[in-house]
Amino acid sequence: MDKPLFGPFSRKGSYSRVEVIDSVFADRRFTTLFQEAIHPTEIDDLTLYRRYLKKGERVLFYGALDAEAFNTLCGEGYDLYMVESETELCANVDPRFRNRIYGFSMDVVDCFGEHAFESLVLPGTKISCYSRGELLLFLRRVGQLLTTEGTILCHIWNASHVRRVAHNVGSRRIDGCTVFYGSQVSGDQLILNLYLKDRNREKVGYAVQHLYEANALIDLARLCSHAGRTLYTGDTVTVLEFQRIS
Amino acid sequence: MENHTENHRAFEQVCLQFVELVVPEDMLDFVNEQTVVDVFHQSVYQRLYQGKRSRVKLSFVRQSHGRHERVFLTIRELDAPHYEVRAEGVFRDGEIWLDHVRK
Repeated sequence: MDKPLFGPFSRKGSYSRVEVIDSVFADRRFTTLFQEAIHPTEIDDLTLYRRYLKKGERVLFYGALDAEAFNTLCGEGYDLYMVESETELCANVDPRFRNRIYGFSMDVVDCFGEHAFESLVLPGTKISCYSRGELLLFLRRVGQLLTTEGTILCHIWNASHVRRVAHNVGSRRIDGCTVFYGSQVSGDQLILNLYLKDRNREKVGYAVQHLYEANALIDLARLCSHAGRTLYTGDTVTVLEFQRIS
Repeated sequence: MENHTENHRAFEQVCLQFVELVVPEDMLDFVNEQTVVDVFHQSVYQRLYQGKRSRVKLSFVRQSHGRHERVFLTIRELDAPHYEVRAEGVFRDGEIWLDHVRK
C-alpha cells in the first residue's frame, strides 16, 4: 500500500474490512476534522479579512471560508464570492448569499469575464494543499481571474510550530461517532490520518499538507512573476500576499 | 461514481430534458462536449447547447463522497456579455434532479 498512512492508522488500513478513502471530503466527519485542522486558531477569520479586504472590491475565495464568517462579511457589505466544488462545505451559507458560490473557476470567468477580481483569498491553509508543481501551475493560470493589480492572500503554517506539535494522537466525537486522528511530519509534508468506526463500517482517511517557509514560497512565486510579502508572522502561521509583477 | 460513457444515449436524453426544463423559452440543440480543467485543478465535464436566443452550458462536478455529481446550468443570451448560473442540480442514478433555480 502506498497511501500516506502511519502507525495504528496504517495497521487499520491494511485490514480488508477497513475502507481506505483518498479524500477526507468523502466523509463528513473527516471533513469536519480536516477543516478544523487547516484553520489556524491563532487568527480570527473575521479580524483578518476585515483588516485586509476592502469593501467595494470584488473578492473571490477559493475553498470554503467558514460559513459564519462568509455570511457575516457579506452581510456587512463585502463583495465576496466563493469557488467551492464540494456541496457539503457550502451547506451553512445563508440562502441570501448562495448565489455567490460557484463550483469551479470557468463558471466564474463565464459569469464575470476575465480579470474581474481585485483579490483572491485562499482561506485557512488551503495553499498548503498544493505541491510545488501545482502551485506553479496555479500561479500561471490565476491571472485570468485577477485584475492587473489584483492580489492573492493566503496563510501558511509555520513549519517550526508544526514540527513541535505534530505526532499528537487524539479523538473527537463528531455526529455521535468517535473519530481518531493523528499527524506526522515527513520531510516537508504534514500528514494527517483519521480513523472511525460507525456501526459496522470502518474507515481510514488521510490528507497531506505541504509545509512551506515564507521565503521559499515567495521565491517560488517570483518564478511565475508574482511578488510576495509577509503581512503577519505569528506563533503558528504566517500571512502572505502576492501580486503579479507588471 | 457515475460513468458518462455507459448508456450514453440515455444520458444525452436526460441532459437535454434537464436543459429544456430549465430553459423552456428557447429550442436548444446539443453542440459539443468537453472536459476542462479549471485554475484550481478541478476537472469538469461540460455539454454545450445552442439555441436561437441563447447558449447553455451544462457542467458536472464530481463530489469526493461519490454519491452524486453536482450539476450547474449556465446560460448566456446571445446579446449579453456574460453567462449567468440559472440552476443547480444533482446527477445521481442516471437522473438529474433539480436542486434550485437561481434568481
